[in-house]
Amino acid sequence: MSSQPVSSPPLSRLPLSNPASGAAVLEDIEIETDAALRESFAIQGVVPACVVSPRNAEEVALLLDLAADRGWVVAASGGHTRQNTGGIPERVDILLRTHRLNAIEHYDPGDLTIGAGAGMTLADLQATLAKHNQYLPLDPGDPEHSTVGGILASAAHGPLLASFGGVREFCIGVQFVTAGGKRAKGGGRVVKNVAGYDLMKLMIGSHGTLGVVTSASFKVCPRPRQTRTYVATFESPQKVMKYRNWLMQSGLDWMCFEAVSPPAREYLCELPDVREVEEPPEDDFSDDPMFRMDEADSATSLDSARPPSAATARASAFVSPGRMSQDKTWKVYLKVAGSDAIFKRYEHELSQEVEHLNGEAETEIWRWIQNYENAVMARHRNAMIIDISVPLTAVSGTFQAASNSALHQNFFAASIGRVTEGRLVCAMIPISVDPPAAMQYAAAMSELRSLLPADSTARVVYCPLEAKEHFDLWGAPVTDLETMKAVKQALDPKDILNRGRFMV
Amino acid sequence: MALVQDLQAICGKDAVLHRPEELMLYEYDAGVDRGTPHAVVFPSTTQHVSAIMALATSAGISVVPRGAGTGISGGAIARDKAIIVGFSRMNKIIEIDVANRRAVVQPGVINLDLTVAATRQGFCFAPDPSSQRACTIGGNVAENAGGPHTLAHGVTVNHVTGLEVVLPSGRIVNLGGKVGPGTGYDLTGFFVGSEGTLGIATQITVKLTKLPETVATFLAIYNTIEDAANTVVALTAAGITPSALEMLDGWTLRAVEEATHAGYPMDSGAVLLIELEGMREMVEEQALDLADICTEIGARELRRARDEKERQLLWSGRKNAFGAIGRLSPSYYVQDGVIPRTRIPETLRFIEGVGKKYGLTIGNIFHAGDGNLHPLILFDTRDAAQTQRTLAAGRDILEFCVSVGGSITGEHGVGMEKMEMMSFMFTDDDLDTMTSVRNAFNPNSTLNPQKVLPTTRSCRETLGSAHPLAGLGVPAHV
Repeated sequence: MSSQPVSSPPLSRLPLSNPASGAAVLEDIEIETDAALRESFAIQGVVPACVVSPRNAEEVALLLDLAADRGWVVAASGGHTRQNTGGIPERVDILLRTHRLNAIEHYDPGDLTIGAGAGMTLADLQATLAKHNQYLPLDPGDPEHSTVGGILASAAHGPLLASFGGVREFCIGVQFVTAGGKRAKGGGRVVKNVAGYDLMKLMIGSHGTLGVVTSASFKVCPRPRQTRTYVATFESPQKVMKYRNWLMQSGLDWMCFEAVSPPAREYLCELPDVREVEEPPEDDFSDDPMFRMDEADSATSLDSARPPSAATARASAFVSPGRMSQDKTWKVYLKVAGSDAIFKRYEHELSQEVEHLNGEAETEIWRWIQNYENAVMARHRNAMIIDISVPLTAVSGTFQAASNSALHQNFFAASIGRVTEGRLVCAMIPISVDPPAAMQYAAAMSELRSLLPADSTARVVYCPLEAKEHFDLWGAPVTDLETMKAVKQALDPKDILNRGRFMV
Repeated sequence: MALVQDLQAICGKDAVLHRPEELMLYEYDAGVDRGTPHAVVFPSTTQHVSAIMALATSAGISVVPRGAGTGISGGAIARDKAIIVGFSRMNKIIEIDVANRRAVVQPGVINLDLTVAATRQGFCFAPDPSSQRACTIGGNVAENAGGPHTLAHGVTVNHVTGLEVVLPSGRIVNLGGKVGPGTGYDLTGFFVGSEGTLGIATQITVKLTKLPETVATFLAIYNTIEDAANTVVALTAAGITPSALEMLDGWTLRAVEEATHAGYPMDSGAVLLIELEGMREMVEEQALDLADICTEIGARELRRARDEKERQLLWSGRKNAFGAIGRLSPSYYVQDGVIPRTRIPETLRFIEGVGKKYGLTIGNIFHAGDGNLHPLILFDTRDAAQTQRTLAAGRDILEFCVSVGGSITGEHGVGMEKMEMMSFMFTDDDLDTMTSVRNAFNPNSTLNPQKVLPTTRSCRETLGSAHPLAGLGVPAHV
């Protein structure tokens, strides 16, 4: 992608008419150049030249029209919660905040559809829906700050992915502004629609490189009347997978199915102090050269009469704060919605040893799981967070591969995962006595990637800036890179959107 | 003839059709448009497809991929003497990978064949268009096909994780694979529903869906269509989540009953076909709520299928409905508009008005649960004036759908039939944006030209026969 040598925006003179479009005048748009404010919106240490908060899609279009004309690099920002993902930007001339694009654009409870501005937070959207006993089954971390636009751009996900899929399955329409300043839309407001190309899919997960989303529409669901969470305990990830396979063949349905590795359990509860880890916790993996990852988790039989021997339960679901737990068991958190009869069925079919959570304890544990990445980053600023997609048969092998790759480079791995969908979140946490060098982040990633089976991907969603040099943060895509580049070229020929941050 | 010989050199002598009488069979789909191809070629491998595409691109001849020809929007019809690429020889199920919940198929595999193959192991392929006994998965991918059960399970795009695609240049690329969206743009999702205008899918990886533990199928019988429509609104509002929710109006159900004897009462004003599925406890609880709502709103009877045979009988009426209409009318024009579910009652009143305005019989049979209407307008193509009124009526209905916040097509695709109606929903900037992405894949419009995006703005694409009656066999002067 060519990047033209251009000057940064003349800050004092930004509100001027754009010669390219003649009449367009930006003088009404609020442009902030205050140093402290700009610094607060730095992206990976790169301070934007100015911060602009357009009030509507027209203003976004005017800005992008002007930016394209001048070759200014634009980065859109919702809650500024996932800006550490991707490469360090070459520069940011305009940081485009979406927080004023925060209106509910349509909501028809009877139709189970809602549309909202890109800057609306997920929490506000859910609050609107909750008034009608509805919700959007998306639960990425930090919902108080995560916005509609940011969730689309990053395709962020949470534990509800296990049964609802991601934002891709719920977004029914999107409005955005192209890098040329054109307002465009795909889809609409109805739940079924094949008119025109599916531009929603292009925007989702494109990390703001194909357009600036200004609003989106979603289909939503009735809220479950009640839920319960069952916690099962296992000695090894292989046993977790046997349990998963048994449940996936059973008649039972669930909302969330989250596996938690022993080291990850530390981050699902409060700790009094920030604390560095002295020694890596053991999680019972050994280097086994004969290990066949792609077959490891295959279902062994269709016999669904009994659950595989599960729980060698320890009483506490939580490790005691302040010290690394000696409890090396894995946990499965299974969230179920329905009537008392459904819960009774579950309690009958699951093994006797499962723990039951409801009420505040249940809300609490899911809040921790949802915010897992943030909990790790709050305690270890040098951690690396990896979002992994693998086939179902490779899940326990992937947990093992992550653990080994981490240990070889002076990290330990703390992983959780939506294991019924093959989506894992792995935190590689530096060992404090001998922390990894910057190069070891890349080394751990390349080892991990080399161990994953075909079609898998592992992308770094967070790592320290010092480690980002010469680092393939995204990993090799399964999808043809040349075609991706052609799409980028079509929608952002001057490469003004998030230049240098994505894979194309 | 040189082109035919070149195609024969690629795929074999017996793999190319070119005589006029052979080509006539490929002039049409299940809709109203027509167009004669230059030749029809049947590749056996991805390499064949690649060589055909490269040949066509260098010769400047366009290519139209075609599955079973069951589409109803003209997506598989040749414009401008294009070459049709048929997939009846690429019809193998390559792999059923139960452990990973995936199947890998060639594009010519018939939708129901995959489900039949997976059922033995407790799975199905969820998209179930009414043509599922004939339509191909390649065609489902092109059209982003739906079906009654997509209400709960989602449409084709929600079930495709990977594609092998031949681009117009002949290059073979992978978009996604067995694992869901990973790193990079979701071009798999973007490709599904692109109606053969971006590339030709030569291998498709789909999700397999677990068969439900319990299925309960109901027929709710109403004296008036308003009560049936209001029931749909009430069920949605009450948080009842059927896996299918279909409506037939009185006229349609009588036509269907005469043909299929599914047991729909001949004197009723409308019926709803409702299916619940999932854990048995949930199904039974929702069944009670469902009965309350149906009764409260005025269903005169609610029948529940007692066994699989009764269930199949109830569904046979729905799934064979279009065939039943064929007994009554020389032609019919099926619309595919979508509306917000709360607007069903008023939209049905509007459609009734349209029928009166144009003096046409319009039946209604549709996926009520997601607001996807299928008004069936009966007409006779030999009556030019009536044909024109039919098209005008269809246009009025779709305009109304869009005016209440809906769409011109829910699952049939835009194709050639509705391309000029794209402007009801999309601005020039929207369409220009779509065009620029289309051009990233298919820059010279070699592949399926003059489909999906309107041609009436001359800058967008070389203008072809864009008259709305083109291909209908209607004289140009009408």
